[in-house]
Amino acid sequence: MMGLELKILFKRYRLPLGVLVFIVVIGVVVGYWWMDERRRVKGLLVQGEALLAKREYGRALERLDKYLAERPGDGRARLLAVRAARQARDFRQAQDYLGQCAANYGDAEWIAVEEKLLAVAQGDDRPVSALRERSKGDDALALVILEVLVQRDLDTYQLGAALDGFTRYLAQKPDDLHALLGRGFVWERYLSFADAAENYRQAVAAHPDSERARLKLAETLLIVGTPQEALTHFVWLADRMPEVPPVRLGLARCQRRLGEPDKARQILDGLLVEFPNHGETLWERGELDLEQGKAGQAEPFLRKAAQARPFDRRVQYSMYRCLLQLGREEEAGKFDKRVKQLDSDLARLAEIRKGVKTDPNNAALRAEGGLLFLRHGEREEGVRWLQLALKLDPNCETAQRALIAEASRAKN
Amino acid sequence: MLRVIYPLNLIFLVSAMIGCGGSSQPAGKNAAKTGEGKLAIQEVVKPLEWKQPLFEDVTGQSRIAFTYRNGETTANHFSILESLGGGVGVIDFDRDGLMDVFLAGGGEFGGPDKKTIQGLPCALYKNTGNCVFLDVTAKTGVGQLGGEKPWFYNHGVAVGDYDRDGWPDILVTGWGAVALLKNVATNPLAPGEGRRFEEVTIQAGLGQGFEWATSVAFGDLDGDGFPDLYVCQYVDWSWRKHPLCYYDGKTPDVCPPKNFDGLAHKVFRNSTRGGFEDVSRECGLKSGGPGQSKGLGVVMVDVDGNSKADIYVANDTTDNFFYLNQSVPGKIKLEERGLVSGLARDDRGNANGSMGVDAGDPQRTGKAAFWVTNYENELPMLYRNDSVQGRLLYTPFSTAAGIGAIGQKYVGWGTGFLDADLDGWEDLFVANGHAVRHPAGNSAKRLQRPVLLMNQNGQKFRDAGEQIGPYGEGDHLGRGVGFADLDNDGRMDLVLNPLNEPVTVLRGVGGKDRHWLGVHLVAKDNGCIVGAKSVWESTGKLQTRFAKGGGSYASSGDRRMVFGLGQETAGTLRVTWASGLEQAFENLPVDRYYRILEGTPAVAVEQVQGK
Repeated sequence: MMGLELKILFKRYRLPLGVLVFIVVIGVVVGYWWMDERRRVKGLLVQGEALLAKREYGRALERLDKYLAERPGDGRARLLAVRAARQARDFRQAQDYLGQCAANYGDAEWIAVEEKLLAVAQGDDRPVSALRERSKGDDALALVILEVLVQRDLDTYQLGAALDGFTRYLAQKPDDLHALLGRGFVWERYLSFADAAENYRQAVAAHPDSERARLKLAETLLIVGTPQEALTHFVWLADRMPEVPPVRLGLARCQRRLGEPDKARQILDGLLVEFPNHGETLWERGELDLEQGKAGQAEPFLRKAAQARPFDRRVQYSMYRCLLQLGREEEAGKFDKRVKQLDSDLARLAEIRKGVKTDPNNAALRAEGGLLFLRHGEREEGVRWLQLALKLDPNCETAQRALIAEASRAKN
Repeated sequence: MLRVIYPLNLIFLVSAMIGCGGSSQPAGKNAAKTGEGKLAIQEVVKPLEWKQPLFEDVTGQSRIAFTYRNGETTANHFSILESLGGGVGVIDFDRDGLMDVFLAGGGEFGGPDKKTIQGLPCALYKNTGNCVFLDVTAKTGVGQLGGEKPWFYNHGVAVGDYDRDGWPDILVTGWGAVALLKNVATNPLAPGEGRRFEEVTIQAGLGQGFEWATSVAFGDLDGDGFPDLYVCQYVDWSWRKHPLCYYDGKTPDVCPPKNFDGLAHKVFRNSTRGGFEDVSRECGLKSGGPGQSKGLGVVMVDVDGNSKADIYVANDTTDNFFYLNQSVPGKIKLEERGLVSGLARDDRGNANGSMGVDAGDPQRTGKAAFWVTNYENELPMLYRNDSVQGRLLYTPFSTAAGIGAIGQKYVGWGTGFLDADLDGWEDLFVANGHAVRHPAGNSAKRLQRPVLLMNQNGQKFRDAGEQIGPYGEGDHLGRGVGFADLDNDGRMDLVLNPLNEPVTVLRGVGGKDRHWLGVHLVAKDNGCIVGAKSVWESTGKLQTRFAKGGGSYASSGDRRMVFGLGQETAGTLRVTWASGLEQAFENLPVDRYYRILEGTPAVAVEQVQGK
């Protein structure tokens, strides 16, 4: 029946069969291309969202940018782009996207919240209390808010608020890797390593293939003094990344703490061939000799370690003990003095930490704390405190000078 | 120095020894010689297995029924006073050759506001043999102080013969006071027939000046033969300085020592006239104050080989002290060398929260090593003696010795060296339990299991908690521990006085197929032996035991020295007395104790009779 109709059609319009086939093929190709293009554009959004969830903000922004070039009217995607740009600290682009949101996306609350979040991310604390209130909800928006607030609390060293934020985030997303690691980090800052290890342990349980979580857990277990358990994780890591220095150093430390000095020495010597000036490795190697009563052999390692880590009181103390063992009391005294100076710094830092809890906007305290952090080798924390001091008091000369010096040092 | 060698024919053996629950003599050549068929069967030496229990809980059969109370059930003050607990004094008060047990009782809170600090009575249990004890608290008068005054809130116990009358006396420490209990005859005409204790604190010059005394060590510091006193003091807590702390942000709890100033410790010189003189100000002691002192444990032992007692003090969260004894007769002079000797801090340069302490020779170097129990997140520290050519130097050795494997979740208190399996290598025991009532987060639990570390030929220690037996499987609030051979079988037994739970007696049952030799040193004219040492030499290998004062936590152990001999049955015993006199003894039959009187060859060695 169909064949007959086609025959009539061909006869009436005098079309050759080949042309008809051509038209059909073109149609199919165009349709496929159209569908593929739709899929490609949609894929950009999906990839953008996935990267956002993985906290790869730069790549997420790139995908969302491309998507919005194709679909400029997608308001939800535009809000995601605001988030990505904000988290990537590209505030100008975030502002641009946000400006276009109102017209394209109907969720007024989300837009208003994003405006506030953007302000907070740029250092404006005025919206903080309103956002804290809104973050008490149990919806997706509350999670977005918590993410920003926790970062802000960490930046301003409000550890209690950060801990609370992570805990509320985890109440909604108990397996979130970032939040588990973040909460562990806060416990470490509180010097409560058992609690930190517990969070890292949860992170490993939820994400057994995460090398980052595994390394944090292993390193913290060494600190809390369970080298046997730490060793199992370092061995797991060594199977996957045998050449990574922190993994090798961790393995050596486990072996030393488990009373296997020869195994530890072998690993450390290997590391020092590749990284002859690595302070932690030098210290560990020197300690290994020192505890075996070989002060003469320990000295060159410890001396280099003390130079590499002038802020590390453990290393300075080891050098002091080493020189005492060698009968060089006078030189040992210099290291003892250094240890006392570092002790005094740490005591002052503890006071400052207490002080900023009650007086968080004291720029002078922040600047002093920043300097002490820098002196103790905690560059990131030091710079953060100095920047905060400058934010609180743009005329804070201490912070200005220290930041300039630090930038110059980093450049060199 | 005088060096005398006593051949075997000068040794006077009095009688065989009998221990708890049957024979105390391990099988071996000597057992075969005795013709005791039952023992001879054990001649075949079996290798010890790792899982074999080394202790047996004999609390029930011991009839010791006593609990140290800290008062937490009488009021919820969460005061730091409640965290310390009490100790054990091992004392052969009636000189019958069996070690008796004195126990600190603690205290509670009374009065309308529950702020009256009241002591609870201490107790004395007489060893009647076979690990069975008799409560003689009332009979000996230790249930109360002189003039029928009640006890103060008490912690520490020290045993020493302060008046050199040959009968050991007791010093008890506590909050605001100490008490010296003189061992006197019930009937002065028959001193051996009955003994009791008479409080002589005020007469002895110890009636004032104490704020919060914890551990004490008796030891002759100035070389006159009379035991002087080192008294640790803790912190300046009182109701006027009584903060509450919140580790989890909401639950009140005991504050850490960092919230208080440390109290200066005290040294008393024995006046040799039945009392003591406070020489704390002039003898070179470190001061108290913020971040200073906070003493909880002390041990006296000679570390530099001059036979003078030196002093190592465990301080809580502040640098530990090491006092090198520079005294001259009649004048006590101490020089603090904690930092320069490496004994003040751990291997990271941190001052630890130290509680218990002991000295021993776990590596058989002949030099005194120190062992300190610490707070959670810290390792108990073993300090190896690396001193050379007059330079005192200690090296933290816990990490290298594999002690890190036990983790840092323990809060360690009573502790000591003991050769639990008689292999000749000193092992370590630690009683653990948290200092606060509600440990926060994922930190250590309040109740904790004890730790036994078995020495692996001096190089490593193996966590052998499972070999403590059922007691070791449970969690406890460990505090004071008395180390004593209660049944005279050569195996160290443990008397544990935990917080708010009954005293436990663990009988040592390790090293059944191994030999041992015990030494009871008695200095001339009942002089103090602290500073002396005994060395057992066999096939070129040495074992050294030091005469110590203090040790463990708030406790005083059996002052006899025991050498685990493994399969050895022959060797030379050398004794170096605090006076400098050296004596040597060849071919002593093993598996028994010897009472060695300083410089008296006629009856130099005498075997103690057991019951």
